[in-house]
Amino acid sequence: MKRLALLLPLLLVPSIALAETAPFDMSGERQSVTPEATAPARPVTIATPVETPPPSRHYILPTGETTLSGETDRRVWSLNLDAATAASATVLSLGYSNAVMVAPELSTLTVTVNDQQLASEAIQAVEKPATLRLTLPPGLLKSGPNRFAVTAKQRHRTDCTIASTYELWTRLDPATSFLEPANGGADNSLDAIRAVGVDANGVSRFTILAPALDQPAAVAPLLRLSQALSLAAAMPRQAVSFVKDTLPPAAPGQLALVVGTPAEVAALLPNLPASSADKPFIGLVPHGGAMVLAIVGPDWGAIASLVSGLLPASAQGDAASLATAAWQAPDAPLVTGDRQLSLAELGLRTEEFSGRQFHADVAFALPGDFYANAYGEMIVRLDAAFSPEVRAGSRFNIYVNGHIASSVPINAVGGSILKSLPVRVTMRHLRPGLNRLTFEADLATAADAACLPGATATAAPRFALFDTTSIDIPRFARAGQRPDLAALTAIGYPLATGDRPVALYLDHIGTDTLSAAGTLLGKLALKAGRPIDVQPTTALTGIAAGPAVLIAAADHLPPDVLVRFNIAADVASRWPSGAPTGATTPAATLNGWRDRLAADNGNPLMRAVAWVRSNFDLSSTGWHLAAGVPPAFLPDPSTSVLAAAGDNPAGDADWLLVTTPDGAHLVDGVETLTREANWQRLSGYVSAYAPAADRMDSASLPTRFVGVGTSGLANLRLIAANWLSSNLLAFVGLVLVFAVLLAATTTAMHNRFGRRD
Amino acid sequence: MSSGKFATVMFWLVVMAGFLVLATLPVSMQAQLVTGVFVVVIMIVIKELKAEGPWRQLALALGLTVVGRYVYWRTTQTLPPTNQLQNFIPGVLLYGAEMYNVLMLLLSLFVVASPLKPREAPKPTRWPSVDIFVPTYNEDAGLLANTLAAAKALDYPGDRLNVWLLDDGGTDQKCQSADLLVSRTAIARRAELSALCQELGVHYLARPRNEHAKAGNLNYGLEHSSGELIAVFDADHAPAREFLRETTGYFEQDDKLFLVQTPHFFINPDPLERNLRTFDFMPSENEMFYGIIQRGLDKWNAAFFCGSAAVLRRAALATTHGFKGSSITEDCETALALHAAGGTSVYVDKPLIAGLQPATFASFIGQRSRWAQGMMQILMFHFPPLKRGLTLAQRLCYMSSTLFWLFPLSRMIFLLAPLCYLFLGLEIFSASGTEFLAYIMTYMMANLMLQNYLYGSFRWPWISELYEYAQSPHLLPAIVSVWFNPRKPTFRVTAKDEAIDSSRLSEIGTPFFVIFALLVGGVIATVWRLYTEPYNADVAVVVGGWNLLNLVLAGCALGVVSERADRQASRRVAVNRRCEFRLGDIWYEASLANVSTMGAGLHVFHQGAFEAPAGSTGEIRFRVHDGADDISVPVAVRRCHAQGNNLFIVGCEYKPTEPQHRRAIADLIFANSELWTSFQASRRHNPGVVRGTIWFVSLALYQMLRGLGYQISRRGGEPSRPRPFGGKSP
Repeated sequence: MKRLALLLPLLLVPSIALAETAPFDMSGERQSVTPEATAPARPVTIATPVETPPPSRHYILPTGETTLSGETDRRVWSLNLDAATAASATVLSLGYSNAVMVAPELSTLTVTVNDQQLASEAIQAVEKPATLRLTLPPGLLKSGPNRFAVTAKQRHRTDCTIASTYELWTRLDPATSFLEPANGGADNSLDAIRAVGVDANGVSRFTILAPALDQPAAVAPLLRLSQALSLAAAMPRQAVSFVKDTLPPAAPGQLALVVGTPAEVAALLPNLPASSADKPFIGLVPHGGAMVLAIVGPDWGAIASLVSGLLPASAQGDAASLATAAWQAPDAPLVTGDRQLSLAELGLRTEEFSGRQFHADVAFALPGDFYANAYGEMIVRLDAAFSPEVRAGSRFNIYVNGHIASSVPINAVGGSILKSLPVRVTMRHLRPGLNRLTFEADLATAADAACLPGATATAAPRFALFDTTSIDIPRFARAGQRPDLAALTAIGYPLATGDRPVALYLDHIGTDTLSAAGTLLGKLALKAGRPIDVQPTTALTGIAAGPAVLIAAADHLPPDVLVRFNIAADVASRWPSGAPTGATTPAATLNGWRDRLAADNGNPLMRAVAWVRSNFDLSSTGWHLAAGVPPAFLPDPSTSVLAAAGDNPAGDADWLLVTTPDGAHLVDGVETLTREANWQRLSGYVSAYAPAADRMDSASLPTRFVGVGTSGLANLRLIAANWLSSNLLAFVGLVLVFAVLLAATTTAMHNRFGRRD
Repeated sequence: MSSGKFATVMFWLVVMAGFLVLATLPVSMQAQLVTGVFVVVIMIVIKELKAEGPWRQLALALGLTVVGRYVYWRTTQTLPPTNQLQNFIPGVLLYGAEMYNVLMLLLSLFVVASPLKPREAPKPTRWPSVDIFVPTYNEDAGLLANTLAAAKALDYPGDRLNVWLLDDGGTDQKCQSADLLVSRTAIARRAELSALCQELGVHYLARPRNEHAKAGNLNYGLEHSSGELIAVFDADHAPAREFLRETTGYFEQDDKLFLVQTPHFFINPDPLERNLRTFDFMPSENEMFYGIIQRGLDKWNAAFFCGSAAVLRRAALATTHGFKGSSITEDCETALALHAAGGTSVYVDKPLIAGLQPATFASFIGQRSRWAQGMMQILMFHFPPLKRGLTLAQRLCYMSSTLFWLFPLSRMIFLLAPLCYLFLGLEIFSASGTEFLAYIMTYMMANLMLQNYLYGSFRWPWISELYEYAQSPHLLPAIVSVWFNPRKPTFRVTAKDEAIDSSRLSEIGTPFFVIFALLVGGVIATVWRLYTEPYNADVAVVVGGWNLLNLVLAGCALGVVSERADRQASRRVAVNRRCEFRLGDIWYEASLANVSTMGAGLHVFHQGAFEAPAGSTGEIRFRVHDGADDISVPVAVRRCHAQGNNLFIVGCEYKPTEPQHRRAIADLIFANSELWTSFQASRRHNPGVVRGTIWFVSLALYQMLRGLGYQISRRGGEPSRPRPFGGKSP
C-alpha cells in the first residue's frame, strides 16, 4: 500500500499533462485515474468479479445475502474453521452496499472476530458495492468455532423521524465476503464436517458418493450418516446429495464423501490405506485434487457403527438448546418452564444508543408440547435508563416473533432509571421451536421534533439497555397436540423424542429420493438435537403402525394417504396446472370494512366496540363448542413444495409428509423447504411454500391432546386454563355448572344446620 | 354429627374446592371478560324476574364467582413490586382495605344467606315474674315519665311485674360530691325522680357509687330484685303494650334461652335522615341490622343483646355474675359470654319499643364512637374466633359483628387512594385499561348486585357508603385510641332530646369540608393530568372517576353535617283514633290525626263557628287501645285553623299533671305497635341499582350545594342549647 501511495504523484502528472493537450478528450482521464486516487488512505478495493471463485476463499456469510437495517443492527454467528484455514487466512473481505439515505460521516460498520474489533468503517457504498479488506492478526482465528460479529450503526442524512429509520439498510454480499487465502485442510473427519463452510450463496452441501445406495441394507446407514453430518455442521442451509458415479469438482462450502464396502469404492479411491480392506476406516483421503471423507467398512453394519461414531456426544441426551449458532449466536436455550434468562445469557451486551429507534433481538426455544398461547404471560424485568432528553410519548415495545406483545410508555420527566421494571408480555405469539424476542425503544426528543441540520448526529446516549434485564418465563402448560406441523418441524417433537422407531416411506430408492430424505432428516435431526432412528421402506403397508415420515412426489402418493393429511385426493393432477386458489389476497369482507371504519372515526359506541374487540381479540374462533373440519387443502400452483402433519391409521402416532408436484422437483423442493428462513414458517397442519412470492400458505385443524393424562396436577390445571381460554363458552358453562352446584349444596347446608323456619 | 349432615358437609367442601380451582384458573382476559359479563347478566335476569328460593342462592353463588376471580387476580397480578417502596406501601394498604371488604362480604353472605322468617310468638302458659329495669343517667323526668308509664301499662299480670328506675345520676357518690353543682343537681334529681316513681308506682334505686357505668347500674338492680326474667328498656325506649306477651313465651320452650331481643325502632329521624330529608320514604339505617342481619344471626343462634328492648333470664345472668362490664358495649359482651357458656338467644322481628335517635350529628357520632370502641374492646379482650364454647357459626357471626367496626380504616384508605396517583403520581395498583374492564368493572357490578340482592329493600344503594364515610373521620381516631389504650376509652353521653333551633353547621363538621376540598383538588389534578399527559389518559380517567365517586359521597356528607332546623323535637306518628275534645265546657267529636311525645293533632268536627285560641286549655278523652275504659289527658291548644267541610285542625300540647295522664299519653303513642310495622313496611321497597344510584347522585348534588351554602354564609353559631328536657345516656 505504501508503495502505491508513493506512486500517486507520478500517476497524477501524466493526467494533468493529457488534460492540457486534449481538453475534450475524457478517455485519457478514465485510463489513468485509478480509484485509489480518490481516497488515498483507504484500504478499499473494488473487487473485480470472477466467474469461478478460486478455491482459496472461505465464504463466511451463513445465510446468503444479509441485510442490516435500522439505526442499529447486528449479526453474530459462529463459523467453524479447520486448523489449516485458521492458520492460513490473512484477509477478511466483506462486501456490502447500502441505502442512499445512510449518512457516511455518521454511520459505521464494525467487524469483530472472536471479540476483537477488526475495523469500524464509515458506510459509504451507495453507487456501487464496496468491499472492506481487513487484515487478520495472526493467531486470531482458531480451529473450531470462531465468532464473527458485524454491527451497523446507521443514521439518516436528513430526517429525524422514526419512520425515516426504516429507509436505512446495509446489505452484505455473500459472494464478496470471505476469508483468504483459505488453504483448507482438516485434521480429522469431524473437523472436516464441521468446517464445511458455505458457498457464495450461503449453502452448505454434502455430496455422498455411494455406489451401493439402492441396496436395502445401505439405505438406513446412509440416512443416519446424513443426520450425523447435519448435526455436526449445524448450518442453516444444508443439503445432502447422493450420487452413484462421480463426485462434482471441489468448491467452497462443499464436502464430498465416499461410502461403501472396499469392493465398491476401491476403484474410486486408489489412495485408501491398505488396512481398510478388512477393518472399518473413516478418514480424509485425496481424490481428484481435493480431500474427500471416506467411510469404508467390510459390511454395512460396520459402516453403520462408523457413522454412529460421528454423532456428537451431546446428541444422546436431551438438548438444552437449539443449535442456531451457525447463523445466530449464541445457541437458543431451550426453556421448559420456570426459567429466568438474562440478556447477557442470550448474547446481548449492555448497549447505549443515541438515535431514534433502538432494536435488539434475542432468541430462545420452546419445547414441542408448548401449550400456553391462550393464557400465558411472561415477565420481562427491564433494566434500562433514559436520559432527560427523552420526552413523554416515547415507548418501549417488545415484539414476539414479529408481533407486538407489550408496550411500555416512557413518561418520566428528567430521565429515568428502570430497575427490574416488570413488563408483562403475552405468550400468544410464541411457538414450539425457535422464538425471537425483539426489544424496541421509540425515543421522542425535542431535538428530533425540531430536526435542525445535523440533528441526527447526536452522540450523547439517550437510552441504555442493560444486559441484566431478564426474561422470566413461568411454568407453562405442556400438552402435546396432534396434528401440529410447527412442533414436528421446529423441534422435531414428538418424532425425535419418542422411543418408537420412525418409518420412512420413499416411493423408490434412488439418488433423488435419497437426497431429499437425507436433507429432510438432517434438518429434523438438527432441530431435535439428536438423530432419528428411521426404518426406510418403499411399501406403504409397512408404515401402518407407529410414527412415519413420508417423502414422495404427489403423483406417487395414493389418495388414502392424502386423505389422512386432509389434502385433496386429486392434488397430483390439480397442483401444477390448476387455477390459482385465490388464497393470495384476502377477499374484501364486510367485517373488515366495518373494523376499519370503526377504528378510525366511527361514533363513540362503534369505537368502544372496536376497542373491546381489538384489545380482547374476540374473534369468532373462540366461540365454537365444536368446530367443523375445514375442507381438504389444495395447494396453489405457485407453490413448489408442501409439508403436512397427520395421524397414522391407528391414531396413536404422528406422520409427516413432504411432497412436491412431481418427482423432478423433489430434491429442489425439499432443499428450499429446509432453508432456515422458510422452515421457521411452517405452521398449522399443512404448509405450502411459493418461492416466487416467498409466501407460505398454511391451514389449521382443531388439534387433539396427546398423552396429557400422565402429567401432574399442576400441569393439568394450566392445560385447563389454556383450553378454557380458547373455548370461552365452555368456561362460562363450567362456571354456571359450579355455581348451580354450589347453590344447591349451600341450600342443603342451610337446611341441615342452624335454626330452620 | 349425623351421617346425613356429614355427607352434606363433605359434598359442600368438594364443590367448594372445585369452585376455588375454577376461580383461580389463570385464564386469559377474554375469558374473564366474557364470564364476568355473562354472570352479571344472569344475576340481573334473576333479579328482574324476582325469583326466590334456590334462584336466590344461584345468584349469590354466581356473584361469588366474580368476587373470587377478582380476589385471585388482585392478589397475584396487581400489587406493585416490592422494590418500589413508595408504591408498594400504599398499594398494600389499599389491597388490605379491599380484602377486608371482601371478608366482610363473605361473612355477610354467611350470616344472611337465608335469614329466618318472622314467626308467631308462642303463647305463654305461665306468667313468670318480670323485673323491668329502666337505667338512667341524666335524662329528663318528662321523658322518663313516658317510658315508665308505658312500662306500667304493659299487658301482663300486675302482681308479677315490677318496674325499677335505676338512677345513676342520683347516686350517693354524686350527692356527696365535693363539687357543689354536681351535688346539688344530684340531690334535686333524686328528689324529683323519687317523687315521680312514687306517683307511677315504680321502684326507685340509686346505688352508692358510679362504677362500671351502665353494667354496674344494672347489676345493682339485679342484686335488689328477684324476678325470674329481666326486661331492659333505655330511658327513651317506651314499650308497646304487647311487649311481654310477644317475648316471654320463648323462655318456656327452651331452658337454655337467655335472651329474647326485639328491634330498636325510632319514631324520629337520625341526624342524617333529618338533614337529608329521607325519613319518610327510605328505610332507616338501623333497619338493615334489625330487619335482616339479626334475623340471619338468629338462624345461627348468634343474635346478641343490644342493650335495650330485650328480655333476659336471671338464672343465665347469674352464671356470668351479672352483666359484663369490661368493655363499654357491655350488652354485646354479656351476650358473647352467655353464648360461650352454651346459652341460646332468640330474635323477635317485630318493633315493640319506640325510641329516640340522637338529635344532633355530634351526639350521633358520640354514640357511634362508643359502639365502635366497645366492639374493638370485645375484639381485643375476647377475640371471638377463638372463644371457647362458641359454635363455628357463632364465631363467624361475632366476627362479622365486631370486624364490621373496622370500616373507618378501609373507608379512609379508599378515600385517599386515588389521591396518591392524582397528586403524587404513585402507581399503587397495576392494571391496564383492558384489565379494568374485565376485572374491576365486573367485580363492582357483581358487588352492587350482591348487596342489592341481600339488602335491597332495607338499604338503598350507596347509603351504606355514605353512613360509613360520615362516621369515619371521627371514628378512626377513636378506634385507633382503643388499640393503644384498650382499657381507657371514654364513655361519652349522647344528648338525645336536643332540638336544633336554627339551621347551622355541626360543630364537628370541619373535617368533612377539608376532605371535600381535598377531593375537589383531586378533580382539578385529574383535569390537569388529562391535559398534560394525554398518553396516560386511560389511567387518569379511571382514577379520576374513582375520585369523583368519593367526591359525590363527600358532597352528600356536607349536607349531613349541615343541621337542618327541626321545630318539632319529636316526630309525629300518624294514627287514626276517634276521641272527644273538650274546649272550655263543650265536648266536640274529633279524631286524632297524629300524635307525638309532646302533643297531638286533632281533626275537630263542628258545624258552625269554632274558635280555639292559642293557649286555651282543653282535654282529650279516648278509649284505651286494648280495652273498654276511657282515659283522658289535659292539653293546651297551640294552633287551630279551619279545613272546610266543618272540619278544624287543632294542634295541641300535652299538659299532664297526674300519673294517669302519663298513661294516657303512653297509650296514644306506644299502645299500637302495628303502626310502627306498617310505617316501616311503607318504606321498604327496592329501587334497584340504577334508579337508586341516579337518585343518590342527585341527592348528593343538592346536599353539596346546601352544605356549601351553609359554609359560605357562616352559620356557625352556638351549639344547640339543650331544652329543659336535658339529655340522656345512650
